[in-house]
Amino acid sequence: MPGEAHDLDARLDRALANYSNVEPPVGAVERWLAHAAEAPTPGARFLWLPAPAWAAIAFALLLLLSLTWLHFRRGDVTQPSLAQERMVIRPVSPDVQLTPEQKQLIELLATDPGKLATMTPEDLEKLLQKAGKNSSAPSGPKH
Amino acid sequence: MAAVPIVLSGSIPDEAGWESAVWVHARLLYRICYAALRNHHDAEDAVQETLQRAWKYRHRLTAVEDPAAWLARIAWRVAKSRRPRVLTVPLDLPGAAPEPASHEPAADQTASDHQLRLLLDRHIQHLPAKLRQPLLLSTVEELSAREIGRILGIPEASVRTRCLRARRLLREKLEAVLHQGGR
Repeated sequence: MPGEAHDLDARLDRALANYSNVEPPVGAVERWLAHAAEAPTPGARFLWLPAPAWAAIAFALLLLLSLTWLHFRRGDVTQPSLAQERMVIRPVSPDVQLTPEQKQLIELLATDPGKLATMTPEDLEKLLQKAGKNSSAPSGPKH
Repeated sequence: MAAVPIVLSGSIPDEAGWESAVWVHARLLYRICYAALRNHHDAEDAVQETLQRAWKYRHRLTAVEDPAAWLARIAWRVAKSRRPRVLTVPLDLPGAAPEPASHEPAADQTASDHQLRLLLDRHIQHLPAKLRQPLLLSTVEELSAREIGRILGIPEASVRTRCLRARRLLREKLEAVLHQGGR
């Protein structure tokens, strides 16, 4: 109905116009002025953090404590360092006897493979031949 | 309300200048906080915090073009930060629809208006923030669309559009509830 619609519009206008039509309570301005120089306490504001913020802080603290605990727990086990480790070349089995040439070749490959490139082809071939021929490793089960 | 000319440019306002500014703008600040918080006690606390913040930066008061707008912006921010994030009043509370009218026409009108205000309050709280904020500020009679735009950081035209949309939305909702209650 147009009349009802108009009435609702008028009532809505009236209600919205009065929505914030309020006056400060008597004595409020004096109170505000008296306390205006007081800074809002940061501690009090901090306590007003919403629940998710508190949960996040608690989670972060828990994580930090766990990581610290894990770190100190692992601190007893020293991790081997490749740089500090001395290389000892041993045969894979006591039956295998490595010749000095084989040891030289293995050491060279492990420590400074680039040196192979600087060797002359003749020296390299000699070294490979010696290392290959003089092997005393068992060739396999004998029947 | 006429704006108070604060003539102490570039310096911290003296006690009298500060006090007169507070006296003149107190009502505006209170209404802004009340519009956002809908509670006299909370609005009082919010104005107190607003003035504490303003006092801290009072040296700016002498330099700002419009002290009322500057204070209003602080008040709005404080009130917004104090506004509970989760709405505690559901829309479907019993009594959301108006009760049948009594026999006296004047009493009818008053009761009906009171119920409409309650309904309006609930529905405004459930509006999207984008529409609710300009609408709430538009209910403060001292604020023009331009000033609301400056407080919210949006153009004046957007303030008008959002207020119209909010009003239309409210009207539709109220009409539906009133129609339902009239059956």
